[in-house]
Amino acid sequence: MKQNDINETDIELMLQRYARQRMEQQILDEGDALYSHHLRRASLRHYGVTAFAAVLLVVSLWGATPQVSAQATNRATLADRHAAIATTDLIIHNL
Amino acid sequence: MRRRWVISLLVLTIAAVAVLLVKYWPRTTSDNECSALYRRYLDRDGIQASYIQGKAIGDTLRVDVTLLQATSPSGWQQLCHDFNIPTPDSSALALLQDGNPDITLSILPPHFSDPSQEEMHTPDPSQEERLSSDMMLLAASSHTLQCVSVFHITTPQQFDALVGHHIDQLNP
Repeated sequence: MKQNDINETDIELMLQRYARQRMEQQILDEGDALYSHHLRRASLRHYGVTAFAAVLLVVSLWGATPQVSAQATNRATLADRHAAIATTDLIIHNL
Repeated sequence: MRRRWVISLLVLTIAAVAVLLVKYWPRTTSDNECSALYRRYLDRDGIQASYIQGKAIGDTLRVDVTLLQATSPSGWQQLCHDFNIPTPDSSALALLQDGNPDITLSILPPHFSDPSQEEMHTPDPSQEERLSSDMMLLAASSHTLQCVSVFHITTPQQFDALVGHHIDQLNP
């Protein structure tokens, strides 16, 4: 009878341990899933914001009208080109 | 997380640089596309010629401009002679000291760009009318800037955008 009692207690303990382990595992799994979900959402949000910023940047820069279509100078350095455009702007402004 | 930010910054920087390059990279016209006036002054000493194709005036209009800038006193004398730019008297010169450039407007004859065509040109009123209605050369010269800017005007809207407000002031 005593032997049976011991066995029953052992079995009960084993069952309790098993239940605890399962519960811990379940909690861990749920935590993992939650963490993965959170990471996925954060990643999506990050890349969404980046893509939106990139599109906004391209559109805003592209939307600004370029000053000239093309240009030719007999001393065609970049500084000469900018100076010619600046002088033309000044003349147009003072017309 | 940090790697993600680095990638994002890299993408944004590449996008910005690409757009800026496309937008501000100097686009050069071939000599054939440039105005006869530009070609005429291309190799003159003391004058720097520039041809600006499609200069934006206002939001939607564009006009081609030939800019002739004197780089020496002899170059400016040459431009004054060619474009009949009057020399300002002393009182006018005193007025020019306020920092704003003086601008003198004049409309050039149709064959001004290439005088050789004028000799070959047979007087034909209809042809003359067509020529003048196709393009008007509006010259804006400045003593203070020592340059002449010639606008190649092809539409009335371009003319209005440039000097229309003067006409409005004359005809209230």
